[in-house]
Amino acid sequence: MCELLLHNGAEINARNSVQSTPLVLASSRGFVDTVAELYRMGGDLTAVNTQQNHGLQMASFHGHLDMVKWFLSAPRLGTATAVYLNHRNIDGNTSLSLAVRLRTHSHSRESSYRHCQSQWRSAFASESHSTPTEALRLVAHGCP
Amino acid sequence: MEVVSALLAAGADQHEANTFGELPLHAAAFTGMDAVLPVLLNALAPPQVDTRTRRGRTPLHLAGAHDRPVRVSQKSILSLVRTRGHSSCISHGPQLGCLAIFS
Repeated sequence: MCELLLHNGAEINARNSVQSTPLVLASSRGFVDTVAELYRMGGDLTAVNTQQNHGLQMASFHGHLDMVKWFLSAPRLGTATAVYLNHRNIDGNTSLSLAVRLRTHSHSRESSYRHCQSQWRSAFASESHSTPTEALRLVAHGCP
Repeated sequence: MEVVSALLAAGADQHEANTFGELPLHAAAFTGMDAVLPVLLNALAPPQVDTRTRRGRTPLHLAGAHDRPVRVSQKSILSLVRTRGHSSCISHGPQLGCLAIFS
């Protein structure tokens, strides 16, 4: 799906209102396959949002073990691993200090589905959005 | 807990304090993440167990600060600190009355 959208003009490292890229969004939801595909298609692993959190920090904060392991598996980050691992966000929190502040989810499937429906509606209703890019953001966010 | 272990195994630095002076140990004590307390405690040099945040709290203060019905982390961190011969609880922290919490 990501590949299709990218071939139709979606920007792989497009930013949303808090500067999150699709890769950061998919990481925070723990979608390993989506993140892997975005990475393969040129997604920037080091992209950060306005809180200065990158993908590994988001995955750590939300407790997505498989996602965290994906980020940690060598040699994806090569020599930058230590820097990436200990990258600090706007509050000085690293992936580790976010992991010990683990946020647990109470999102029901029902409410996230409703959220997605309204997101899709506004994505396609608004002239100001670049549609494939917006669609990529929603897919990265896990919207069916 | 597993995420914490995976990050530590990958070499995450647990001596990094955030802008509030909090180590990962402070946060784990506060959130009651008991399973990771021994791991975090054992990797710290003894004086660091008493590291204070900007507001003067040691990890032990934070373990006792949260208003929860079951204070598991209080007990586990205290027993760990005692085992290691530290006196975090006797140290100051006037607002929290650490000694009173555990008496």
